[in-house]
Amino acid sequence: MRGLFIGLAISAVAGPAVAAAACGDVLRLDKAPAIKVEDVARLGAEEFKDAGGDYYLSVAPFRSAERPERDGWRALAIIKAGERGLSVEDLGGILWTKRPDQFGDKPLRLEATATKARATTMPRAPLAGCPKGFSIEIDSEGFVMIDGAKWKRVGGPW
Amino acid sequence: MVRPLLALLAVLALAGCKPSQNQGGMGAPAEAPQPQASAGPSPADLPECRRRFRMVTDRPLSLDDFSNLAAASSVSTVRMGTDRLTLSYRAFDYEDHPDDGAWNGVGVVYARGDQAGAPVVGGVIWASDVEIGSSGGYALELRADELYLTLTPNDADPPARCRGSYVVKLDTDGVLYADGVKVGTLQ
Repeated sequence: MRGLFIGLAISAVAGPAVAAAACGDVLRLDKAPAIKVEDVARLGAEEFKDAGGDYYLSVAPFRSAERPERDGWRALAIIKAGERGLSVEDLGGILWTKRPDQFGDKPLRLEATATKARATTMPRAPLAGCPKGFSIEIDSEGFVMIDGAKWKRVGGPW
Repeated sequence: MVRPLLALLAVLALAGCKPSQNQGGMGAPAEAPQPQASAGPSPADLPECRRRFRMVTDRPLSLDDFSNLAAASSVSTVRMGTDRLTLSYRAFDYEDHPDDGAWNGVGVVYARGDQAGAPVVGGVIWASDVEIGSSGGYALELRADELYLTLTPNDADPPARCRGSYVVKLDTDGVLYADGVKVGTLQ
């Protein structure tokens, strides 16, 4: 009986069990996605922003009520960083989450200045273990950063 | 014995010196165009364009493939007075599209209902030895409650000479056909 009281007291202090998830446990960018035709049919309107130069960033969110699901992850959006007018491969991928309930119809905010464009996740509340969320940015030289770290340059070496 | 042989050689020499009407060539005298009985095979003799297309339902797209898709064009109809069916088409960029050997990606077609999470039926359309053209060469139409995507090669381009079109149809029962072959059903 005393043990039960002690257990209840600990639970009351600690609150509900919440795993201290790292970002990689709740948000993941698949950089080489296999996009099914069915996935394409479930996309909402794609939004583009110029990053300066000929570079751009785009976000095509999946409709929140019909996000593709694979292995327990839900797809939030297809993200592309690219260069207009040239046949160079875009960078980006599908952004997946384990917390789809935290995202509405517009899961990322897309912003631009004269020299860069940036997309940032917009959860309803900060994600446990991943308070800054996910971000991707491209500048007017084509350099792409993920979560503030260098990734690649569109169409060439960093 | 010698005279017939000489005569034969003379005939052969004359035939060989006659400029070819079709070849012309450097230094050949310009000739006025001659009326021709036929400019090529009659339309009925051309191969059918539809045989130069195929739909693949299980081939996923890479990010680059997706990047080369144009925005969707769609046509819709209402089934049983309640459910709206839509046939959509996204063409690949004319100059930058996926290829698979002799096959070039033409576009992505899909059909679906309007309910959230509704089933989707569709695939990637590929073509070989036809020129679709920068305009896409497609039409989306509603005819007698059925939805049609029609792809017609650009027959101004000689390699593409063929007759007819490739047709994808969504009928009122939600069955999708590609060139008359059932692809799937929207339940």
